[in-house]
Amino acid sequence: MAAVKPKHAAVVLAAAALVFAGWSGYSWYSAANASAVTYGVARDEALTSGRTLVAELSSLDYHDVDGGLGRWLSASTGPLHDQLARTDETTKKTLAANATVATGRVLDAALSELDEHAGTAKMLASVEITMAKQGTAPAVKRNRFAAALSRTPDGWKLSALDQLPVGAR
Amino acid sequence: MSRARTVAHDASETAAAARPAGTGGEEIAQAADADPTAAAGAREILAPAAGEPADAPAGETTTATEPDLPATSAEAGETAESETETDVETETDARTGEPARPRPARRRLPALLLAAAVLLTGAGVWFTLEARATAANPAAANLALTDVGATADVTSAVTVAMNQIFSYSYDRTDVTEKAAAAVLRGAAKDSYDKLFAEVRRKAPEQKLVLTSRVSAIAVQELRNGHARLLVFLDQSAVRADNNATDSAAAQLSVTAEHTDGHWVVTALEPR
Repeated sequence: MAAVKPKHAAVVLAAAALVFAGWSGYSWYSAANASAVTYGVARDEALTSGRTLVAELSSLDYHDVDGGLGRWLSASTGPLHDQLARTDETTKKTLAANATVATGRVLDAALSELDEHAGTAKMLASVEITMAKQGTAPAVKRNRFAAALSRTPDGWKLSALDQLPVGAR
Repeated sequence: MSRARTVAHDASETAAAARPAGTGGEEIAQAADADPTAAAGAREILAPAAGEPADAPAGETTTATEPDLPATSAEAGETAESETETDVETETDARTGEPARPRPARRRLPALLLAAAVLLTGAGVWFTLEARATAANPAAANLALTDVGATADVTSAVTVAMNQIFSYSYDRTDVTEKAAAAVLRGAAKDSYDKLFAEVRRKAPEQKLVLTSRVSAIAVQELRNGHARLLVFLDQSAVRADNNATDSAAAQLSVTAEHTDGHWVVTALEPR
């Protein structure tokens, strides 16, 4: 009979441990799936990707127009992608003849809208574009953009990128 | 605006940039003339486990075959004794855990249960730590956009503040000053006051009226009464003395704090 007592104690311990594991597992699950977390994570991902993509679409090296256009295409989706895909030879030649290296840098950006279910977002970005042309001093311009982002199987991509001139809205 | 189109039309500019270049800068330069405020950046704005059970059957088999052993040794005339001995031996083995003789499965149950309890407790502790870490995820702590009400609240407060402090009329600069005193604190207030002192001095000569309007705004971060926003301003300046008008675009990174029930701006950085 001496063996019975430890057995009972062991059963109680194991049951208590099971309840604890079950409860804590559930609380982890619910914390990980809380909308504040999933939505917040989607927001931060969209913003991080958006900054990179806007910088890419603000940069072009005339030495490699085809490569630059390729990067523009892989950074975009939807209407913007279609539009960029229609870039014709004349435009490419003009770009190459321009002999300018444009480098975009996002100074600040923030999401103004996010629809996590639809996988769409809107972003504002202040971008500094440096245009370097041989023989001239580099020109630096500040631009403000409104970007639309869409989630694709390959991550967030830009579906629109519009400049916001004065009086645009 | 189409990027490709821009590129095509504006080829002399460059591919990446869209809007006709110099305009912004020159306009601002003019505005700066009209409204000679100091500090370069801001001037643009003010002037525009486990698997143990495997052994169990083996153990049982061994125990079952054991009674034969004493039976064969019965010739030695120790049948009764050896039988009891075997029994006692088996039991003793189970308690002392002599490695040579595996214990019966049911005797091992408490040990298994204890092992399971330890494993489950470990898992529970891990899950709890993970749950805490997840809840403390910075993405969750940042309420920008996730808390719609709070986001709208800080958005409208900063919109009103920007519209007020970056708009003035040469004959009523005190109105703007009062608004600025109400919504600006810290570094934002210090730099603004310096700039506005010049506005107050020079605007009347030129009969300058500056109107600023927030054209786009987005909240980047919102936590514990602290917010960071990106604000796009459209500015238009009119000089009543020569009827010159001007417009400019401005971008600002704004830091705001929630104190005494309302939002105040603590930092303004031209972007």
